Amino acid sequence: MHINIALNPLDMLDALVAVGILYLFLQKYAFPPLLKAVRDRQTRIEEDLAAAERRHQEADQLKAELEAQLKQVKARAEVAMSRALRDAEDEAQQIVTRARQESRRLVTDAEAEIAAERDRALQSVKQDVADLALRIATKVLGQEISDGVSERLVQEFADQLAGSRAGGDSAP
Amino acid sequence: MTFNLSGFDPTLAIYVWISVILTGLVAWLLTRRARADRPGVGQSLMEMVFEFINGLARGAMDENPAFLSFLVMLFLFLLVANFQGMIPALHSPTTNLNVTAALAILTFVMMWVFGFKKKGLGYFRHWTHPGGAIGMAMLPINIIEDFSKPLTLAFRLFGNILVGEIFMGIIAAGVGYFQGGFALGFVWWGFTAFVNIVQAFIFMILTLSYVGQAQASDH
Repeated sequence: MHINIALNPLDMLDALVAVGILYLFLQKYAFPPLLKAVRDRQTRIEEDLAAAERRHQEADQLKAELEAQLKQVKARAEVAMSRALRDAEDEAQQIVTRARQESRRLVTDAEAEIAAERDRALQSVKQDVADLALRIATKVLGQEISDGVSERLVQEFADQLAGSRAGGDSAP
Repeated sequence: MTFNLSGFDPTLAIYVWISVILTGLVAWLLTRRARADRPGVGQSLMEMVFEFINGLARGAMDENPAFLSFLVMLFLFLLVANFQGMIPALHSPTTNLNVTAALAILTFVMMWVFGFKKKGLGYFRHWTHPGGAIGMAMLPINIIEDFSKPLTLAFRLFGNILVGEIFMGIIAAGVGYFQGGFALGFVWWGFTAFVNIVQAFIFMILTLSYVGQAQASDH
C-alpha cells in the first residue's frame, strides 16, 4: 500500500468536483422524492389531525346539543308527569265524590225500599189479622156475615188494632 | 509531506469517483420510489439519516435545507468512501490526505461564507474574544484556532481510516501464519467498520458545529 501525504491541488480539485457533482446529483434525483414523500406524509398527518380535531369539535357540539335536548325532554317529562299526577288526583277525587254520592243514593233508596216493604208488610198483617178475626167471629156466631158488614167489621178491627198498637207502642 | 503541483494521481481519482458513483447510486436506488404511505426499508433508513441530521442541525444553526442536504451528502459519501477500503482490491479515498483536505477546506470555506452571510465583517470579532486587552492577547490564538479546524478535520479522518486499512492489510496478510488470525481479522473488521461510521459522523457533526458556531451570535 502506498501512503501519500503529498498535497496535490489537482487531486484536491478532483475530489471537490466529484463531491460537488455528487451533491448536485443527489439534490436533483435522490433527495427530492424522499423529501416530497416526507412532506406528503407530514401534510397527510396534519390533515388527519385537523380532521380528527374537526370531528372532535363536531362531537362536542353534538353532545352539547343532545344534552340540551335531553334537558328539554326531561323538563317536558317533568311537566307532563306533574300534570298527569294532578289529573290523576282530580280524577281520583271525582271518583270518590261520585262513589260517595252513589252510596248515599243507594242508602236512601234502600231506606225507602225498606220503609215501603215495612208498610206493605204491616198492611198485609192487618189484612191477615182482620180475616182471621172475621173467620173466628163467623165460627163463634154461626152465621155468615154479609160482605158489606164483614168489610166494615174488618176495618173497624183494623183500626182498633192500629189504635191499640199505637197505644201499646207508647206504653212503657 | 510534500506539495506536488504536477503529479495528478489517476488511481485516487478513480477511487474518489467510485465512491461518488456508489453513493449516488445507492442513494438514488433507496429513494427513487419514495412514497408517503408505506416506506420501504431503504427509504426508512434514508429518512432516519435525514431526520437525525436535521435534528442536530436544528439545534445548531439557522434552518437551511441546502446545507442540510450537503450534510447528508457528506455523511453518506464519507460512509461509502470509508467502507470502500474494506472491499478487497479497493482502497478508501479517505486514506489520501488530498481528499480529506479538500473536504476540510470545503468545510472551512462554508464556515466563513455562513459567518459572513450572517454577520458581515463582524464575523471577525470572534478573533478578539473575549474582548479588551485579553481579547487582543488572544487574537493570534483565536486565528490559529480558526485555521487549525480544517487541519484537524483532515488529519483526523485521514489518520483513522488509513490506520484501519493498514491493520486490515497486515492481518489479512498474516491470517495463515498465526493461530487465531481469522478471529483477529474478524474482530478488527468489526472494529474498523465501527470506526468508519464514527469518523463519517464526526466529520459531518464537526462541519455542522463549525458552521453553527460561525452563525452563533455569541461567537
